[in-house]
Amino acid sequence: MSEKLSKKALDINVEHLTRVEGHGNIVINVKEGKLEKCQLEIVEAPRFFEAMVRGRSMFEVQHITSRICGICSTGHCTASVKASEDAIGFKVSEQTKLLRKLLLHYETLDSHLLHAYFLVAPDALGVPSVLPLVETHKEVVMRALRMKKGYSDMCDILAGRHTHPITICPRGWTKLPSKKELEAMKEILLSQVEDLAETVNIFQSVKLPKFERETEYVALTHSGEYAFYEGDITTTDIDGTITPREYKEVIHEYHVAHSTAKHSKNKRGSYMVGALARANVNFEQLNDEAKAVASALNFKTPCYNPFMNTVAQVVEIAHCMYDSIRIIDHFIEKGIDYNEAVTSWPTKDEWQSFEVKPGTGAGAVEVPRGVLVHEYTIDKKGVVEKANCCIPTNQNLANIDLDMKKLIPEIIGKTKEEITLFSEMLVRAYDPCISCSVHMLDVKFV
Amino acid sequence: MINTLIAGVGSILMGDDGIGVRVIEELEKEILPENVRLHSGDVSGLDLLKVFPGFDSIVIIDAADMGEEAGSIKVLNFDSIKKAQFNDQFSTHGMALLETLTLAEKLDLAENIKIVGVQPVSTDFSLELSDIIKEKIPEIIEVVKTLY
Repeated sequence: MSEKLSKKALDINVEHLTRVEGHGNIVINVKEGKLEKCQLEIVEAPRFFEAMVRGRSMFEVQHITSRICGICSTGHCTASVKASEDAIGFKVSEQTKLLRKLLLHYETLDSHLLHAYFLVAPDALGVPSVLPLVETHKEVVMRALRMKKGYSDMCDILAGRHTHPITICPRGWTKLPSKKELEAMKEILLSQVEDLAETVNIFQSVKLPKFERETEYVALTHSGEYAFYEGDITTTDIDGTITPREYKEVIHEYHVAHSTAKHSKNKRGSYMVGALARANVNFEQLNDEAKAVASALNFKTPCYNPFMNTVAQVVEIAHCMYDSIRIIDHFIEKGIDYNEAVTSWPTKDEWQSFEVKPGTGAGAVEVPRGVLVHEYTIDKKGVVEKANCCIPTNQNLANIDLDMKKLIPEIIGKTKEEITLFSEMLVRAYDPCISCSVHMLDVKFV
Repeated sequence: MINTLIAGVGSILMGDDGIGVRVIEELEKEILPENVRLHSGDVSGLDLLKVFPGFDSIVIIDAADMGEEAGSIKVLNFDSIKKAQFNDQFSTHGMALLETLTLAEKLDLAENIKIVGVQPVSTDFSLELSDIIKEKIPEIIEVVKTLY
């Protein structure tokens, strides 16, 4: 920060940055050649979800936490049921796990597509928003809508709704897909093979800023697969892994004055989660189709350019699409055991033998923006006594600030407009979901 | 055959703002012609827009502040409404109905868009419709049925 800058003075204040989910401001101040302030301010009101679930049954909390976000509702729902099950010591079947993995893929596809097409592509194509694209690149907008509808329709088939799933619950699924439904989902995925190729074509021509800052990359990892649903937490700065229950050994949350959402760090001043972090940690486990997309987009790991997060998302779109087809093919071939269907709340008979071992458990899943952890303490009646949710966007906030502090001196010779655009593009690259991140603020009374 | 989408939009958490969704819930109990599809609209514009392709005609039911007496029902032709003026303040979370419909028109997604506006009594936090609006549901359904 003591470095003398070529510009004597610069004041940038982007109030309510557009094309991110929620409200944040970018503030950059240079005075007498010194970078005095450079940060992403989070100004949304906190929403206290942890307090809302206290006193609620473990069989209904996933419907409440799902409302933290309309984009990653499946992720919150899944982390929620995993935390509840872990707390009471319940193990789900392999079928349940595999179907949860499938549903998480649908959400990742939907969210990544939204970010890449509607929030990032306009920068790449040199227009201020997706709306002018309607005039110049109508087919691009139509393709994005078509793909988005496909993902939503598959969510509808599997989860009972486009958003806020209703078929997922602790213990399993209330409704299992029929063979016809499995085939319908496969047909939707196959119909998008060409759309995926066109998506890769677009991002081949996208020019992203050349900027690098190595940081710590944090993600779930699993010996058998590219981790989304299950695995332990690891980082590029540690050897080995830690279990989801030990998440506080990596995710150290703290408050800063300029943000209503908490910041996080581990070994360094900040770390990164999300598609780029996952790819940096688990690249070799991507399927061949995703690796081919990575190669076509010249994406290689380790990658220290945060702007490449969007490219990593496109790579993950290919992975999730083909892994979804693999999972569906598995069920079409082996069949579904419909005896596993459960009711959303245990029936009277089930309660007779249902064991609730009181305790604290954690559920960790990779959602589009990074690793999400829910931790619940549940009493012997199955009621949540205490809850904590660690949101990916929070975990990235400190990293965004440090990226900006390195980026601004590097581009200080550019015009104010260009500096503003680059800063906005940097924040957007992280795909922040600010509404999600501002879920709790500890209020301390003196 | 003209394919018609009937979408009720609004938030059921905000009292009369949820009238569109409540009307769809009632229509779901009926047997409708084959060319008619129902959609219980989300509050997010993009999520609504993505269901438009494939329909020739779109009917939107929504609470609308038209400066009329509470409970008034009006069928508004989209051509008669001032279109949304876009700037770069676009956000996928905040895409309002007017923007969604303007975008739909630009994308040639609907040749014929009609809005059934209902003047609300209250759009404060409530899971219930006000009595005046609740009583209007059968009348709104009759109006909707004249549009396909």
